[in-house]
Amino acid sequence: MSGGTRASAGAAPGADAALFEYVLRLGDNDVILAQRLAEWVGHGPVIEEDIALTNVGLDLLGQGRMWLQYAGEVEARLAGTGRSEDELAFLRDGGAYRNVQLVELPNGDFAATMARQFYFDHAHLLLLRALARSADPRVAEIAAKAAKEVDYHAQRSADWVIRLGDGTAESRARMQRALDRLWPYTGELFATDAVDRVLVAAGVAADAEALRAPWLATVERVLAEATLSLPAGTWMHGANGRGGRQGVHTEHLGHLLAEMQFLQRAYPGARW
Amino acid sequence: MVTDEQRALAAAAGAGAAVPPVDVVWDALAGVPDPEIPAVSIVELGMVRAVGWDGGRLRVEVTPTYSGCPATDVIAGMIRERLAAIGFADVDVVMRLSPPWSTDWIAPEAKAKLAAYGIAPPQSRAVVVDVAGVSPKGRPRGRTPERAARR
Repeated sequence: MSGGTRASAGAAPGADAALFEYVLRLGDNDVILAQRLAEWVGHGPVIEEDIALTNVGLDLLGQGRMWLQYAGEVEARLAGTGRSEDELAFLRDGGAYRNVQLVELPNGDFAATMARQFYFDHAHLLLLRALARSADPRVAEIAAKAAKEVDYHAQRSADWVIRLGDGTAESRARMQRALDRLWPYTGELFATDAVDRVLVAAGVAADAEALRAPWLATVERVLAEATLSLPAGTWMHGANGRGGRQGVHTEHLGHLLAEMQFLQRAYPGARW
Repeated sequence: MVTDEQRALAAAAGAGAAVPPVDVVWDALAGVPDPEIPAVSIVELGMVRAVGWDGGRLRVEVTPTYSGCPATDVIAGMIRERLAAIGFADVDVVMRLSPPWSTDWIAPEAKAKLAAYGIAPPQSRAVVVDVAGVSPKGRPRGRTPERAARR
């Protein structure tokens, strides 16, 4: 099966074809954000934070592995043969990646990293809690395992938004700037397309649109405590059915993959 | 290496006869240390969920403590090695995610060993979040800070 196929936003895919896409989206969010967090290794503001960022990334990498393993099994059901987690991670080009654009954006300063994490973690947690009740038992058990870990991520990133927002003039300005800049990438977290609709109808997927209100309530509560303002913009990248989840990415993903995939590209099939 | 006795046992299990007792397997697994905290075994940590015969093959179900645990593959290898040493050469080591592991799965006696090893043993605490509505069998229900033990 070609790695570059795109789900049409119009035609309704079959159940397993939709499931493959859906599980890839879940796994790719984890793998790409884990790679971004790994860039912080050795650069954290303090040792404790350096380790914490890496541990969050490690959780996400482990979750991403579970999703990509399942995606490969679904692909085998569909096409007779399925790719391994490593083939999916290291041998797909940008257009075949299905992560939301938010997670591929560069780390920026510490405030930008934590703002990205804050927006993502709380949407991620709501999604995983909903998926823990999925009609697909494999989806449900991976989600239940991951939610235990993401609950901690969400508490932690909210704490940092409050600490930096309600901190010094400099930290407050940086956190507000980061929240404002990343805001237009949050719409894609709650966008739905034909893949979602097929699986929501089957009780397998969570209705992302329904997660927006509880997510916004949490964001508003945390920003109020942080003495920060909720960004006002309404334009959202990738929420029109042509975003990262459909394989349309920012220019940043290719650079990330160039580093992440270098070894397998330069030495195909290398093992150690 | 498979002994003649094991071959006979496996054949008997495959033929639907009474399966061999798994106590010997549990005892062997109790000798497999956690690679990161060797003071306790993988059984004491609650990582081994089930041992049984499945169509003539020995099946060991293991749960990861956290998703990104880099020791998971090592542990599967140690299990195979330990069981091969007592004659079970052909073992399926299967990952089981549900119900998710928490520190409530750690055996009480292992908490004393963790303390002696220099790790503050996690205590059970009130439920903060219960995403799956599941409760580990025979262990108190709850969510605890497993990172205290793992990292």
